[in-house]
Amino acid sequence: MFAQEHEASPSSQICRRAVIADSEEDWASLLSRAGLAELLRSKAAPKQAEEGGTPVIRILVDLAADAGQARRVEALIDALLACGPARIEIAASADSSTKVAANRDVYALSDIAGYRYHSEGGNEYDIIDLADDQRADIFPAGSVLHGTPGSGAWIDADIRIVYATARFDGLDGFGGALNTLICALPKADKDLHYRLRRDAGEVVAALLDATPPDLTLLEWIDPQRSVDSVIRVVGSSPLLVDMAAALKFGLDPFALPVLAQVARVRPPPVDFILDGDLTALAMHSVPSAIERKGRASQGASEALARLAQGWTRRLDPTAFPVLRTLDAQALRVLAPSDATVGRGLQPTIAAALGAAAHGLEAWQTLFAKDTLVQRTVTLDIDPGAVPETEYARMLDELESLAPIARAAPERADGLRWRKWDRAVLFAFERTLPIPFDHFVAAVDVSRAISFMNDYLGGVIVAASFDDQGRPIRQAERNLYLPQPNYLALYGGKPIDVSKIEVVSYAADEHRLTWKTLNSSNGSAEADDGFVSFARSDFGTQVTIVGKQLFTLPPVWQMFDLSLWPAVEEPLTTMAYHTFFDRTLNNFEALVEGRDVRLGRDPDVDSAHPSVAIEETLARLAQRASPFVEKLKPKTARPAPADADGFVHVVPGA
Amino acid sequence: MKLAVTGAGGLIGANIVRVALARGHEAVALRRPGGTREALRGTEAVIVEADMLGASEAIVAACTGADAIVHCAATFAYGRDAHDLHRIAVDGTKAMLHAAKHAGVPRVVVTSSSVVFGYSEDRSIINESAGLADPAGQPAYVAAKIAQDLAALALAEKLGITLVLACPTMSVGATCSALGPSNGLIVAYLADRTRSTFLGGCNIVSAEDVGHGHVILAERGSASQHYLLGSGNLHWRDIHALISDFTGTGGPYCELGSGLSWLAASFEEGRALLAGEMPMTTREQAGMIGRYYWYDSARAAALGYAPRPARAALLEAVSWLVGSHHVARETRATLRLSDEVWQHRFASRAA
Repeated sequence: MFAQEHEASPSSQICRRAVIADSEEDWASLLSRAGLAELLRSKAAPKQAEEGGTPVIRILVDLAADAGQARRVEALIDALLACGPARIEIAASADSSTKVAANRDVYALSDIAGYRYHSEGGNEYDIIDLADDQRADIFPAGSVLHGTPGSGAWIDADIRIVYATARFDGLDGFGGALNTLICALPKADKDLHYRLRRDAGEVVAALLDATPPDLTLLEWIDPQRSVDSVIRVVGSSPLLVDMAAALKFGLDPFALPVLAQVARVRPPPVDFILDGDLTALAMHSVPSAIERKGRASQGASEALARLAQGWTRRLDPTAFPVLRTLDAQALRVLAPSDATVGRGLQPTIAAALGAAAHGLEAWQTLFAKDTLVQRTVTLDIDPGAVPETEYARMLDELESLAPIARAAPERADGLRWRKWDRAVLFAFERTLPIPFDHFVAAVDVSRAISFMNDYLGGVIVAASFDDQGRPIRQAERNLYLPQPNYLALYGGKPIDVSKIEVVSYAADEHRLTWKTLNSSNGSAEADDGFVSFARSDFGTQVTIVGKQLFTLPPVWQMFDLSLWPAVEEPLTTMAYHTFFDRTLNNFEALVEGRDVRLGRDPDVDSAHPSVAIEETLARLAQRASPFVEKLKPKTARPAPADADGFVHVVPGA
Repeated sequence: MKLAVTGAGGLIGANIVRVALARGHEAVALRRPGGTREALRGTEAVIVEADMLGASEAIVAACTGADAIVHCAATFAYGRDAHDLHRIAVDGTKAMLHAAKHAGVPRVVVTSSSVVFGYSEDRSIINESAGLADPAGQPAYVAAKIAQDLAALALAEKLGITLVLACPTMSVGATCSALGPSNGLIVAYLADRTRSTFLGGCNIVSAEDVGHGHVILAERGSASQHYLLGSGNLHWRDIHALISDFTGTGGPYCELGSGLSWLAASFEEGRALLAGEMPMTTREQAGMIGRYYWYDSARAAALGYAPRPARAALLEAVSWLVGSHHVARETRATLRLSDEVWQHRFASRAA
């Protein structure tokens, strides 16, 4: 992979370095100081060596950034071409996060942003829409982007450059080079597809794996244009560039959700260098921790996040006219302001919206599950790297636990459970009146976990197959709603567990055994077990045996329920009974040929939340209009008399 | 015999088409333009799209050569605009009778409703001899159906057409593309986590049996006669208890009078308004709570009409509904189907 080439290349020192400039040092000087001019020359050399070969440099930009961006990018183009001949293209794609500008395509947006197709230095460049050339099969199985298209133009570029303008009006309160990288993906509804249904950090990590940029530049210029308020950072790694920028803004880089997630899954080299003055600038426009936390919390509700995202963007309303009345009104009240009062309001507004998002998420979890958006995740286990002994040990462990679970007291119809090392050790058995062969044809045991109750999304990657092509060793990561669901009211997180699995297919029994190796959000300490479908005289016997220990929300951790069995036992029984009842209903639904996936399929178009709200208001207004009409006076109010006592009327009126 | 069936995309119309074909008749299915063909999937009926209030030439052409027309096209809904309901019921029926005259079809069966005979509050069972109810104070749908019957009888006599009026009771069962109030009552109960039932009762019948009844009336119903097509008379609590038995929900747990039902219906109408959906129940329906819509189908039975018991009708309806898109995934996940329902589902699939 390209990333590995970087590691092994002689330029590795450049790749682990980001250079910071506090003044408007010109690009040529900065690139040269960072050693990147040389790196670019070496990258361009093979293409230049070809007869008539000219390297194609594509510069990825976010077109909805500040108005001065175009001149600065054009200056960069001049600096790049000073390093050698190349064909330069500005690359972008439509982004619904600037939904107020959603009616603009890339070319209209670039026009508004001031791109002229030629620079001050007389160099010509082109502008391309990265959504024009979509290519499948770019992202490997297990990647959070697997199955979605990537941009062919971005992949094919000889040199990929990310040009970012730092901004503070996004979902996580800071958008830099990593966030700009999302603009390389072709889907227009970027909030939905790359920030809400997927973890933005995982998306960026997948992009860095598949299409690592060669050069990253980040700029921030205070709108007031004071000399001390310019930051320029250049480097090869977007992660290092964003880390340096965050430090200059006085932020803990690892408190920024996207950066933290990328650093977790693709850590920077241990010997990285941030070269330059790292003293934080005193900047009033950097959102407070409360505001950033509030913004990040808005992501808990897809609808609210998409609704509020446009309300807090700092966009020039003359260049980006607002499409909907609701957004216009909200922007007027909520948009970031330089005024002291406005700045003071922002954290309150963000925190209130964040709290509302958590409330909405809890409501959806409890009462409107089908309005939740389905999630897609990255598999964080390499099933091929797990030794066979690990699979065998898992099977032995579950075989030992099963008799203990089956000997537990029966708590409800077919459900037995007892405590084991703080975890709940359970066995559930029920026979469905469905012939075994019919059942197993409809319910693929290797995917049984994804058919269980409250499954919100996940990924399965097979490691080996039997002679009929069925998976027998696999790894899986899955997300469930908090269990029991009411924990969502107390801030309970979705259960996020990564497992290794063994699948067996006997003539009279199909079985899936799993063991959890990792829970990336710390929601589970244990989730191991097996599900078996066995032939019986009355149909198919479904057995689920397992050991689970989920992390409770902090409020619940204050009470040690194990001290109060009279409370703990009915709550546990109810939670498991509900879960298994509904899981078996899902199995039945599969036999009936119905879809069991919870939540809304994000690939199916749906109205933007602000459109839905406007439609609802219109319906209410329509329904209320007869009553309003009734309230209106039946006869025209008589005109008042003038000072002389005359009433003036218009003939025929 | 060749039958032309209007409203063939609906629950009763589709069942008439299926039964007619099964009994060896020819069938022309007239359905509203633009609707889905789900209800008629798998049949060999000739399907014609025609609007009963639109171009009459298309209807005349479709009906020409038929021995009888069964006119089912109607809007069956509570809580809808009274003028619209009246227009579709009365004007649509008149248009169809004129089309029958032009097409030379001598015999027409009009689908009316059992509710045209009113209701009792003392649990007495009503038959056709009760005569049409006074439309004053009745829900808009009932008033529209009474007006339809009166207009149809008068016009048929004037045009010299043999008119028979079929009056189905609460018809439940398979093959409807849209969820009407009858199957809707089952779905609403399944979605109601409080498992509430109502005071009063109604007559339940299988939509397939109602289809049989219509075909019998087309074959040998007497002119200008109403025929009630029902099956068993049950209290609402017994109907809901059967649904609970079939679906393992438990309940019903409480019995609501018209006041509480009205409040619940108001809430549901508000919810549906916000969601942009059709309400599962309406205040107009709530006003019918506490009444007994119990009927006797002896007149139709004398012609050979023999419906299955109400329990079997409900079993068939529940078995079909739980596998359809009408029951929300979240609702379906709370159900635990009885073995009887499973067996019925497997038998239906095998058939």
